[in-house]
Amino acid sequence: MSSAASQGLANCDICGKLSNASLEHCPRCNATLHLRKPSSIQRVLAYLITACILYIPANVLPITITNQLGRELKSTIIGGVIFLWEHGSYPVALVIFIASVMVPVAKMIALFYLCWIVSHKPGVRRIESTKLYRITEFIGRWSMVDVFVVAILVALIQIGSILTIQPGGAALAFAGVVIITMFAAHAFDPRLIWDKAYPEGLASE
Amino acid sequence: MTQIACHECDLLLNLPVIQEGQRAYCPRCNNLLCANQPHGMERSLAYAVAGIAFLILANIFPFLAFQAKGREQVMTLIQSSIDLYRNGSEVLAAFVLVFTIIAPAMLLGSLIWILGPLLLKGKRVQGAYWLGHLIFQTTPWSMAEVFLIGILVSMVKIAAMATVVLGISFWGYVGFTICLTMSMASLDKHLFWDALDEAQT
Repeated sequence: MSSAASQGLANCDICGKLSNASLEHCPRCNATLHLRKPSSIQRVLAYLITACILYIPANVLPITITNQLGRELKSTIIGGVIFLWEHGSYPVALVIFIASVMVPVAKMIALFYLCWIVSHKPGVRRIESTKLYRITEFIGRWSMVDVFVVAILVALIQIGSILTIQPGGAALAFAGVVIITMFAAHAFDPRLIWDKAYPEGLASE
Repeated sequence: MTQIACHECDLLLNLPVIQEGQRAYCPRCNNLLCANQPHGMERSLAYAVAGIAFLILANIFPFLAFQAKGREQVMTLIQSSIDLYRNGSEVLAAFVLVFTIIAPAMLLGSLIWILGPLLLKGKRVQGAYWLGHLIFQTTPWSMAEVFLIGILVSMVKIAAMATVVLGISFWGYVGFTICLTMSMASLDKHLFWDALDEAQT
């Protein structure tokens, strides 16, 4: 069993056509060719650090500001989950908790772990790591639920001075966390899991 | 036999011709390499056309209505972005608009543009490779199904304060999401590119 890279063949990321790595662009779809995504680990780490920093305002700032008869009520992501739980909406509280707290955090930890295992323990737990990567890539977009909830509430609940809802700073910060972790998952090259050693030569090409 | 490399582990493989109804997995990492569904591309095109029809429906009627204390507030689909914009969250408004309407609409539009001439006349339209490239790059950013879950969550959140009425456009969006999902699930990347290669310009 040999890898395409060891034969000097580059697999096009977009259309999957195998071409000689010396070509710069895919002869079929014209995408840029490389044996491995360029400086994959460094880019993933850069995205992850950005996401971690953005995750702080996403949790500290309010995600919605409700104005009811002149009374202003600011609610954070966690605050919203606790409010729903205390009012007996257990399924919705769980959906929000999983989508807005568990998934982003688990995703960031998973990508840190994948970067670590690829650069420090090459060849260990390959099947498990590949599965972990697939799950990470698949679930990322589902975290956007909370941002969409804010968009709908803001549009729907505007009754003059009686009741209005406005988006808080956390909404944008949280959307940023989701988008940047999606970029991070996309920047990770799962083929590194299967390379015999962390290919310094390949990664810098 | 075509020589390919697994997209996830880079194993060099000889892929035999995959018959209708068959699937091929990578023997090393178990990644799905190719799934030849019966009339996959025809179904993908049909769902894409239906999806666009549903999307038009989703944009011309009321989406949700909110009734409380004798007052009613009606909201259209596009308002979820417009009202964010009006509230000073321009960037967030742009994100929501792209993820819920523009990206999915672009996906379906590109699919129809490429698959229509390809399946009906065996013809490859100009820019088909470039658009195909765009389709697979846009897929993760099309979040119609996530938006639907968002609607359900908001409805439960509001339920305590008021009654939420589902409009015609809401059902249009449900149909749109189902068609979009089915259209993308019926399309196999490997077979799609091969079909483009074989078509005449």
